[in-house]
Amino acid sequence: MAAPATQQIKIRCNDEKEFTVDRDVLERSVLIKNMLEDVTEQQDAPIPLPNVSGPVMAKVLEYCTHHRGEPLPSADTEQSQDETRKRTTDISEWDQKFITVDQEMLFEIILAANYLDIKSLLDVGCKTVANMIKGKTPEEIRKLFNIVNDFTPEEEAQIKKENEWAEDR
Amino acid sequence: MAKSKFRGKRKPSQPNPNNRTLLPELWLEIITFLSVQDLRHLSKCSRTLRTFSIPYLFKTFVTHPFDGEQSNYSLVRQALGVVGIVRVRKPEDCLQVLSRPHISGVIETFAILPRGITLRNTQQEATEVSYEIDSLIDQLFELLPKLPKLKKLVCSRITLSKERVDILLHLPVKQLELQRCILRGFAPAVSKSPGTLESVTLVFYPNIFDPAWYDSEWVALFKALFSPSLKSIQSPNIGEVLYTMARCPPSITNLNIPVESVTSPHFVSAMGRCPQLHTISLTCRRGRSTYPPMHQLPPHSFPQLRYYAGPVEYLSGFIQGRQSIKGVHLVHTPFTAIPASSIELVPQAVESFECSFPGAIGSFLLPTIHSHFSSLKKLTIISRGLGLREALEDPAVIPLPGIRHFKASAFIGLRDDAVKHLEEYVPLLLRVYPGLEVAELVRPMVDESQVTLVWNRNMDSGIDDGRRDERDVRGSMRVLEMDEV
Repeated sequence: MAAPATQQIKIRCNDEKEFTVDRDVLERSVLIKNMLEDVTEQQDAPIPLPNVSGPVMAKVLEYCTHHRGEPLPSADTEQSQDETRKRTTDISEWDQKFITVDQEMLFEIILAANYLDIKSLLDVGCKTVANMIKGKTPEEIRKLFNIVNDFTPEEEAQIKKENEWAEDR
Repeated sequence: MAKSKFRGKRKPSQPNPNNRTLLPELWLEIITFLSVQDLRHLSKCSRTLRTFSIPYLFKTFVTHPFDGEQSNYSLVRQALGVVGIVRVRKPEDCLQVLSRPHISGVIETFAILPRGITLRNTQQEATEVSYEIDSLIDQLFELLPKLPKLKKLVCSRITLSKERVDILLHLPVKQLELQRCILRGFAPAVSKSPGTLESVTLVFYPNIFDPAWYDSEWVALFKALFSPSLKSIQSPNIGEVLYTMARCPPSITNLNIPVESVTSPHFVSAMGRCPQLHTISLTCRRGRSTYPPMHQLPPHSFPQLRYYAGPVEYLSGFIQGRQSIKGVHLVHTPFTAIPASSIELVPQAVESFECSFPGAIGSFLLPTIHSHFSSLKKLTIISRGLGLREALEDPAVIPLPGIRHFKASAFIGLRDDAVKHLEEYVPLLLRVYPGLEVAELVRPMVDESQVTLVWNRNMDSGIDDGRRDERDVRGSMRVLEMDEV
């Protein structure tokens, strides 16, 4: 007996680029999953995603397709992970290759994962940024992420003192 | 794409024009993956990042005013975790830090550890230091109610005076740990705790063989602390355990109590009213050989029990007919080696098995374990450390591929060459446990600092080069202290 055909869903990005994707792939996004559940009748009109561009969506879909069928994290497991963390920055081999992109694309992927509510992709992106920060000086971090130093000298002195307290010795 | 506005008045660093910035809320997510060291660097980058980092930098606050001397710090550190520990050792700094609202406002765990092992030149100097510390503790206790996010309080080796207990009883904390404290002058009072307490841990000095003499005061304290939300109780005192059992909040999930408790009718009847209990640990002294008979437990009690730790004598009483059991720890068997008959009483489908005994690992132990358990993922063998190498080298031992975590006592040399010993053990372990991810070797000595060696297959993050064999050895050494033994 033939397997039932998977429902295809259309999405439209902010640059008018459209994708037609299997529903189970798109449902890795909690945002889209909720939208689809709210719609009772089948609609042909594409789902508008005003915060994501075509090239970024292509990357997000590559991720979702690779991880289709994997269990989605429940609210309970997320909470227990939060409570017991020591959080690891380990990234699987495939995810690591997937996320090896230039920094602008990395940030766009993180923002898209945040907007689309894809927790596992958001984690991969955030872990990658955390790994970029590891071992760097404040000045190196500022340069890397385009951060402006807005401390006064007095504040810097206070921070130095407070960070001495925060030193884990 | 929205940009965050890290704009400042002065000293602008030169941003890279090709880079984009991240939304502030995403930094909050990234921060959760950083170590304290990296957080400190990040917090120096801008005001916004400072604001985001502070709750993590100062989440766990440890006052520990002895400098550079052996102490019980690592014991508490292990219990608290590793992220966000602030350790303040100068008494004057403790109060200065806490006077800053942006720091005191984010503290969730507060640990007061005033007693290290300290060596002073003169008796007078020692007395002066002791007085200074005692005065500091009083001041810290007065500050505790002013910590708005305080959830967990740990006190180690301090005297709990009436005034201090009064403060403690009014704190709306969820977790309370009193380690080796002395209770003095506390009389059962009208004071009532806010009923928020979910976990109580009491640890007494190990040299107190029978702590029953503490009971009247400690039970009074326990009564005052009692909360209907209690989930976890760890206590070596029978009195307060039985008190709890008599009232037995149905919220209880975790009990770590003296083995004698099981002979009490309070305990047995209470078991029928603990539907959520999933972990029971019965503590007893090493080498104990006789146990009083246990009353029969009510039918259908604790249907969710997942873990039993205790003597083999009570094993059947607790696990019989319960399919939910995932882990068993057979404690302190008096035999020099654990009998095969004891192992065979443990359900074959458990995922975690631990045994501790005062002898050597004999030639039968690993074959018995390997042939009995079908789903084992974690194996712990605490012994005198003899015979592990021989057991692992024995070709008759069939590999157990399901094991992910292995821990055992072993002679691993002195600190300087301990990692080398680990490197020798890892190939032996990988032959017997090819799926191993973490191995811990514990030094079976109590007369000096305990050493645990930890091998973790995935220690380097993000690297998987397929070299899953002995070349992949990455050892790290964690030095523990006497108190942890």
